[in-house]
Parts: sequence; C-alpha cells; structure tokens
Amino acid sequence: MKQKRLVIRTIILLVMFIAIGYTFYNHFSEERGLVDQGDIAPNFAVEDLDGNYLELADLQGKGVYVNFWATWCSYCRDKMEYLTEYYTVYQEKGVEIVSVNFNERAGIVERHMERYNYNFPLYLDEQRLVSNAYGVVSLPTSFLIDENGVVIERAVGGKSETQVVAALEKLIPSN
Amino acid sequence: MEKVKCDCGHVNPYGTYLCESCGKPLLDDNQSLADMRYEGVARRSQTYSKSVVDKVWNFFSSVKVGIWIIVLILLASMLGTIFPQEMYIPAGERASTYYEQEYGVLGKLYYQLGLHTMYSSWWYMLLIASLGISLVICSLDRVVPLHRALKTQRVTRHKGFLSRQKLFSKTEKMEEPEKSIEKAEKVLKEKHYRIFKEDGNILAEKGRFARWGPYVNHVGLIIFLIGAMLRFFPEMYIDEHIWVREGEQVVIRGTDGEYFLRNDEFIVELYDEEDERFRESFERTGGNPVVKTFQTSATLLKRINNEGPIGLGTEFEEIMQYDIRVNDPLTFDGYSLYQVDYKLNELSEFTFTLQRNEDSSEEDLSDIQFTVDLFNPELVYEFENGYRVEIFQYFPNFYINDQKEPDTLNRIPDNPRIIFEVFTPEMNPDTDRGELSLVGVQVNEALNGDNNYRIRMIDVDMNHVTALTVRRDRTLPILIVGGVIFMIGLVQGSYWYHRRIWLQNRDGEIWVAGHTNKNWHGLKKDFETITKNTAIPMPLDQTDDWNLIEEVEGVKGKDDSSTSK
Amino acid sequence: MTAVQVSSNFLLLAFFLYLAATIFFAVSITGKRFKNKKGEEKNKSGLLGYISAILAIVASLLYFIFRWIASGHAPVSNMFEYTTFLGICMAIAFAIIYPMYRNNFLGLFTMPIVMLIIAYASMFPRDIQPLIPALQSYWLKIHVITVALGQGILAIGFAAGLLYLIRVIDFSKASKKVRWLEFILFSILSTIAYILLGIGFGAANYEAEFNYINEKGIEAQMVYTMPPLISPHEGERIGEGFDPFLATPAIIRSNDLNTVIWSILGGLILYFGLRLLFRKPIGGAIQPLLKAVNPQTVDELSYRAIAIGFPVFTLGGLIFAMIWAQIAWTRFWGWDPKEVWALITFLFYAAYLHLRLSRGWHGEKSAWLCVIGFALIMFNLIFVNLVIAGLHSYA
Repeated sequence: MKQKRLVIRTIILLVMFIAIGYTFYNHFSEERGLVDQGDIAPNFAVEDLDGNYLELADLQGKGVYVNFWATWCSYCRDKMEYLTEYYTVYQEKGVEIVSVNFNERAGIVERHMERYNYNFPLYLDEQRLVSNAYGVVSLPTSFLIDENGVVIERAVGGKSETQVVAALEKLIPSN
Repeated sequence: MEKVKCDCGHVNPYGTYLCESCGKPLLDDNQSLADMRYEGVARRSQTYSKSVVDKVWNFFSSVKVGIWIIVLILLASMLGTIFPQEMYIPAGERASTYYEQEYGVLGKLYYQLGLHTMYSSWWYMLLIASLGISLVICSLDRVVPLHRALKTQRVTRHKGFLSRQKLFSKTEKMEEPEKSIEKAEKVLKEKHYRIFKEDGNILAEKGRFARWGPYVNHVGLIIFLIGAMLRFFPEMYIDEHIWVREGEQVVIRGTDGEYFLRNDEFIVELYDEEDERFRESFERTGGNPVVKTFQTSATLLKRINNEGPIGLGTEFEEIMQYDIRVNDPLTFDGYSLYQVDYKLNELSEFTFTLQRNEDSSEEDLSDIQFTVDLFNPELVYEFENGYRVEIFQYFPNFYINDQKEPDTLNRIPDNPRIIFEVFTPEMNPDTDRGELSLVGVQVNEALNGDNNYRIRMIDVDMNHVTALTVRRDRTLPILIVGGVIFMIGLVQGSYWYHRRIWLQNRDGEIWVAGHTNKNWHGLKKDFETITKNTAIPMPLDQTDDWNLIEEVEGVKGKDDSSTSK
Repeated sequence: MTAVQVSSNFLLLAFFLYLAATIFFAVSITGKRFKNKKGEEKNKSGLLGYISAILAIVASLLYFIFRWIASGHAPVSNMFEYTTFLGICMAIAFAIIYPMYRNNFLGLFTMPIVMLIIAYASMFPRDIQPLIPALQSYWLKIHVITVALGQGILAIGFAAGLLYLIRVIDFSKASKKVRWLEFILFSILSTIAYILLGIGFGAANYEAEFNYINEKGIEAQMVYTMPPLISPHEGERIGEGFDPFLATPAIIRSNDLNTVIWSILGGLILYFGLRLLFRKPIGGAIQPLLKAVNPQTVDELSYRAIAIGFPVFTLGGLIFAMIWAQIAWTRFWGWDPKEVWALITFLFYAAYLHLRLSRGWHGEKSAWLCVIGFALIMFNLIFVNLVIAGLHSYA
C-alpha cells in the first residue's frame, strides 16, 4: 500500500517535471531553422539572369554553397566579394556556389551584377518561393550542402573572408 | 501510521479528524465545533514525508503553499505592467535604449531586471508551472478521500458529531418522536432533499454534487495550462507576418509554401465628419478623422503541383476571395489571416517625359513618355524617333553609405532615385556615354556636365500595402475544452450548495443538526420550514455572537479625541 | 427630443430614484426602533426602498436602451458609458441579492455607492464616439456587459464587507484598522469632492490655459478645468490669474495632477469637517446606526456576493475576453496591462475563496479582502485606463 502510493506519486511528479522541463527546453533553446543542420536540402529550381536553368538535385556529388542575398544588403556584398575571389579555385575542387537573390526583380539584379562584376551566376527568386522554403528571415543566410544533399551548416549573418574560405573548404567532396 | 478503528467499527486512515462513517471526533483538539472542511478526512499524511518524493508531494499538497503561489503570481504580474512590455513599445525602437530614454532611471532598471519581457522569463514561467503542479497535487490529495468520506457516511451519527455542528439542538424526551421525524421527512422531500433512513434516523442531503465543483474547475484549469504549455512545442503554434502590396502575390509564410495571397485592393474608410451622431465628439477631439474600416480584398491561392522542385514551374489555383477586416479574419485549413496594419500611398510608378533644356528647339519630344515600375523597372526605353533612355542605376530607398557611395536601404521605394542615361538618335549606346541625371521626388541633377535634356516627372502612381498576421494555433481546442470545464466547475461549485440535515431519535430525544459548505442562511430557512410544520425546534447557531452589540454601545461617552490617532 | 436627450433624462431620473431608495433604506433602519411596538415589524420603508431601487434600475435600463438606439452600438465603449453601466450593474446585483437576505443595511450602503459611481462617470466626456474597427464586434457587448455585471456583483461584496467592518471594528481605541477604515471613507469623500468641484467649476465654465514644454521638448498648450495649484513644465499662463506655487516635471500631466490635488484637498475638508461635527472617527459615527446588523449574516452575504460574482467576472473578463482577443488581436492573450489586471483581479478573488474555504478566513479578514478586491477593480477601471496606456485605452 505504502509502496504503491510512493510509486504513483513518483510517476505523477516525473510526468509533470518532464513536461515542464521539455517546455522550458523548447522555449529557451536557440530556435532551429526551417531547414537546418542534418536535414535533406529541399530541391529547388531557379533561373539566372541569362535564363539558364538550375536544379539543386543536378548538383549531387558536389558540395554546394547556397547563398541568399539582396542588392541592398551590404554584408551580402562583402561576402560575395570573397566568393568571387575563391569561386574558380573551389569550383575545380568540386564546390559550386549558388547565389539566390531574395525577392528582387531581374532588372535590379542585372544592374547590380554590372556594378560589382561577380564571376558566378546570380539566380532569381522573385516570388520568394525558395527562400520561404528554406526559412530565410534575415540576410545573408547560407546553407552548406554536402555531396549527398544533406545540410551540414546553416550560417546566418555577415561572414569574414576566413570564415567563407573555411566554409568552402568544408564543402569539398571527400571522394 | 496505524489506521484508526472507530467505535462504530469503521477503519479510518491515519490523521482522520472525524470518523468517515459515524462522524465521531477521533482527535481531541479541544475545539467546540467540528472542523468540517473536507469532512474531517485525513487528506495528507505528513508522516509519509520520509523520501524526497513525499516531501515534494507534501509541499505542493498544501493549500497554504498554493495560495502563496497565487499571491506571488499576482504580485509579479503587477510588476510587469509598470511600463509597457517590449512588444508594445513603438516599432523600430530598441528596448536597450527606449526604456531609459522614455522613463529615466526607473526605466533603465526595469530593462536591466528584464521586466520588459517578464511574462516569458524563466522565473515567471516557473511560478505558473508550480501553480499547475500545486493544482494537480492539491486536488488529487483531497478529492479522493472526500469522495470516500461522502460515500461511506452513515445516517446515524455519533452524538459528538451532531453536538459539534454549527447548527445543533436537541429536544427533551418527547412523545412519539417518530411522527415528528416523519413529518419533517415529508417537508424535506418537498424541498427536494434526498432522504436516507436508518433505525428511524434521517439524513437529508441536497446538492452534494456542488462539492465536486472545485475539483472540476481545477481539472479545467489543468487542461488549460497543458494547452498553454503545448504552445511551446514544435508545430503547435505559428505567428508570422506578411506585407502585401496591392496587385502583388506573396507566399503566405508558415504554410510550407502551400498557400499564396494576392492583395486585390486595400480600403480605408473613415467616418463621415458630417454624421450628426458623432458631431459633439468630433468637435471635442478637434475633428481628427476616425477610421471606420480597414479591409483587404484578397484572393487566396494554393500550389497545385506538389511534386518536383520548389521555385520555377510552380502552378497556382485560386481557392477563394475574401474581404479581410479587423474582427473578421480569413480562415482556411487551420490558418487564420488577420488584418493588423497597413501603409497608405507607397510609391509604385513614376511616369516621365523628356525635354530639351533650351525650348528654342524645333524638335517635338512630346511623344516620349515612359513609366518606370519602382519594384520591377525596365532597364531600357526606346522611342520611335530614335531616342533611348536607359536606367543606369536605381536606388529604391536612397542613402549614402559608409563608403560615401550611393546605396539603397532596402527594396521598398520610400525614397527612390534613378540615374537615367539619355541617348540621342545620333549616339551609339554601346560605345557612347549619354547624359546622366539623377532623378527622384523633387530631385533632378545633371551628373556629367551641363545637360541638354531634362527628364521630367509628370505622374506618380501610389499603392496601398496591407499587413496581415498569419496564425495557426493548434492548442485552441485544448484551451476551449479546459475553459469550458473550468466554467462548469466554477458554476457547479458556486451556484449550488451542499446541505445536510440530521434528525435523530435518541431515546425519545430528537437531535437536530445541519451543515452546509456555504449559504447557512438558506439552510436556516429550511429549518424554519421544519419548525413551522413539526414539533422539532429550530437548531441554535452555536457561533452566533450577539454580544458584539453591547461592545458597540460602549463606544458612547468615551473621550473621542483620543480615538482619532 | 432626440434619443440622446431622452436617454440623458432617464439617467437623471434614475439618479434621483437611487437617491429615493437610499432615503427609504435610511428610514427603514432608523425608524425601526420606534415602529416596533406591537412586536411586529410595521416598517414598510425597506420595501419602498427596494421598489425605488427597481424603478431606478428600469430608468437606468431605459437610459441604456435609448443611448444604444442613438449611437447604434452598445453604450459601453468609453469611460462614461462603461462606468455608468458598472453602477447600473451594481444596482442590478443588489436587486438580485436583496431578496435573499432582506437586509436593508445593504441597501443603505449599496445605493449611495451606485450614485457615486454614476456621478463619477458623468465627469467624463459624455458625447457619443464612433467605434474604431477593433471594437466593431458583437463581442463588445458580450464581453463588456458580462464583465460589468461580474464587477457589479463583486462590488456588493465590497459594500457588505464595508458594512461588516464598520459594524465590528472597535473605534474607541486608535488602531491600524481604524486608520485604514477611515482612509477608505476618506477616499470616498475625495471622490465626492472631485464630483462636486467638477460640477462647480464646470458650471462656472472655469478654464485656465498654459503654454508649456511637453515631455518631447515641444511647446504645447494645456487647459486646466480647476484653478491651477501647480503649473506644467516651464508653463506660462495665458491671460490673467494667479501663478501656481509649484512646477511639475514634463512627464507628469500637470492638469490631471492638479485635479487630483483639488479632490484630495476637498476630501480632507469634508473629512475633517465631519470629524469636527461628530467628534469621533466617521466610522465610529456610523457604527451606532448599525447595531441591528448581524455580523455573521453580513459576512455570509459578502461571501455569497463574491461567490456569485466570481464566475460571472471570470466568464466575462477572462473567457469572453480571450475569445474576442483571438478574433480581434490575433491572439487570445497578449499581456496587455488591462488583460494582466483582469488576471490579477481573478487571482485575487481566487486567493480570497481559498483563504476562506481552506484556511478559515471569515469575518474581519474576509471583509478586508472584499474591500481590497473592490480597490483592484477600481484601479483597473481608472488607473489602468487613464494612466497605463494599452490596447484598451480608447476613451
């Protein structure tokens, strides 16, 4: 009888403490992105300024640096400057850079391209379909996707040159 | 720890005040009246507090602790209303500077103590959580024994039980007490009492279910708190915000790219300033226009091809059209879209024409008219007479950045500047440099020397923008169930009263006693009816204390000035 | 006559009927001793008082209906309308509870409080205001009417609690209790002073204007409706008049503070005037009238009022409020000050019920809690609406 009472009390208390603990954990732990580390990167299809079609799935086997940016975002420009510098070097090592514009129209992106002369293609996402699916809320946001299509990192905010190089280094396919 | 066996044969748990069956007082506490709370049952056994689990359990089982938690939540909640919470400070203000700037030192302290986000702080949430635990344990610890006691109560009660009731009296030995009791039984039946009989004794009971009211409402509260807790679990709650320009179609955030919304038209309607009903009010407030309606006429669309990649090739299907207003959200598939904000007259299009600076010109340029979409500008405008205007650079929200270069803050044309390049028919756009001019609202500057041509703005088009909140709250059904049960319990416990009347024949004497959890006034009235119809006397209220009147009379004649301080 | 005028006239009529009820109830308790010769109570004043109260409620409801017709929406959407309705609800609550206990003392305490609330309400602008979009919902009526009714019933608990305290507290000795009770009575007198001063200066069309620098550092103008005792931040009087003694910092609305100071001064004059007249604490002066009150009955009465009012208040102030908030503001709960204070009121009365049922707080302790509870309701009505800005401050 006494033993039974202790067991019941322990169970009830445990259930309540676990539920409350989990609630606190969810509330106070850093929020996970819609697409985040360990997820399979959702496949998307985009076109660049010249109308060249790209599908993420076609890049299987390569490391992919997906970068969401906008013309008005100065951190994005800094980052893309570094990417321009290392683009060809890492392309040879099997790393692709996919720069997806956030919610701007072709004309505006075209003038931006002329002004800053990036050497990689700029893809459009005029209706924000791709950035929405990736849960992009601030710029720049990058997703590091390995050769198997798995996200290995979600990087939000401005990055230094060394950080960009380190990220590209991580993406080199192992085989 | 041993159980206590009463004289009547019933075995009671340790800590019982009044025998669950016959009501005999088991603990001699020298009280003149029986403590009838929870029927005198053993509600928590302090003696079991040997293990940690029991100690925690007993802590939360105390009503005293429960009341302290309520009081602490109450006091803490007050603190949070001294200054506005962070979510209510004006948009764009930073909490780190706002509070100090607006409320001085106290504001700074408020911010530093974290009171500006107090209601989601760990300690406030912990208080609410303890309230939940207290509710569960207090209720469990009381409802079970109470239920047992009310179920096992006997009709014939111990003399000590009866005489220690608040309402009690007994008669002298009388003739045919059975008859009086029988008559009383009839009266009580008419008053809808349930009658239990044993050896010529009566227990009349009414409204016992009111006793469960508190526990029912606690269950409701617990369900409600569980619902509130689930809010923090993934997938349960979505709170997103979208801005939609007139004519624009956007993906509705939080819907996994499944739903889209087009803003067909946004309307703001004002109250008629001539309206006679509100004339005085308009006069008093200085005639500021009062908004009558905000409304977004929207079209809801759905993605139809769910296979294949995201992005290019997405096809839509119109689902419905709806006028979203304040107090009238658009609800679909568990989501709701609420009208929350708007921005009127955002620039959307500029229309320009070209002029020669010296009007001596024989050329007619009036055919040259072009419109620039400020969100989606064409880059090149060619005209039949050979003129060509190109957009050299475009800054929707112009400013000069840290590197002293022209730049844009964002994509919204709140302060648009366009650098145009004008090519005359004689020039080759691929090799020549045309005249450059920077054009904006009230701005028109030549950038490379004196210009022969001037681009003049002749028309401006504007758009309204609507702001909608996207909400999905899967906890609502749980909260509704909790709220309903809570209200039922509250009403059950507040608007019905548990009343019991004992009439016992003790060797020719009639012993009368009554108990109720509230509303003694009502119970006394029931006794009055019995007294009127039978020889049974009105029981005395053993707590009634009329001596107070004499005390009050004593006030007279005293030195009044001494009582003032 | 327009519907607005008709409604105003009915409110005025109601006010005098409440006054009549007060007088009848007063006669019923003072006259009892003399008219009790045959051992039977021949005193009909109590009944007359109750009838007057019922008629007053009818007149009040006619005010309510005509104003509804005039404005096209339920007249509970600004301070005047809500506060008036709260007074009416208190009267309705009295009409419900009186038949249970037939306690004329309760009438003597309740009716003046109802009058005071309605008179206080009429100090606010009385014009009909158009409804902003957030208020255009049938939940406005459901939510606000239920809340007012709940608060009205809880206010009966206050009246009974006050009655209990004046009945049992020993005024012959100076004590904390006496001081607090006198403070409550002083607060009531200050409210009366505020109303009288407001009516007086209003009738004289008194206005004093100032140029001043507001909290944002901008020059602005401020109008005083009572003679300025304090001036605004760097205030300069426009036109003739004496200069105030003190200046206030910019964040304080000095004209409102000025009114508060006048009310407190008025309250002090009334209070000490009465003390001088009675030569004892005001409570002590009232006490002999209440000899016939059975404290136990009044204690139970105050508890019953709260037990009846608490579910109604919870339904209106929390549950209906949440439903409407979910529809109008997208979330059922947003920690808006008014919401928080409704929760505080709920928690307070929940604590009261637990203290009474589980910890045996009867009598005096319970009566004090009833008084504090009413203070919370008034704080939520006046202070939160007028001082702590939030989503609810439309008035």
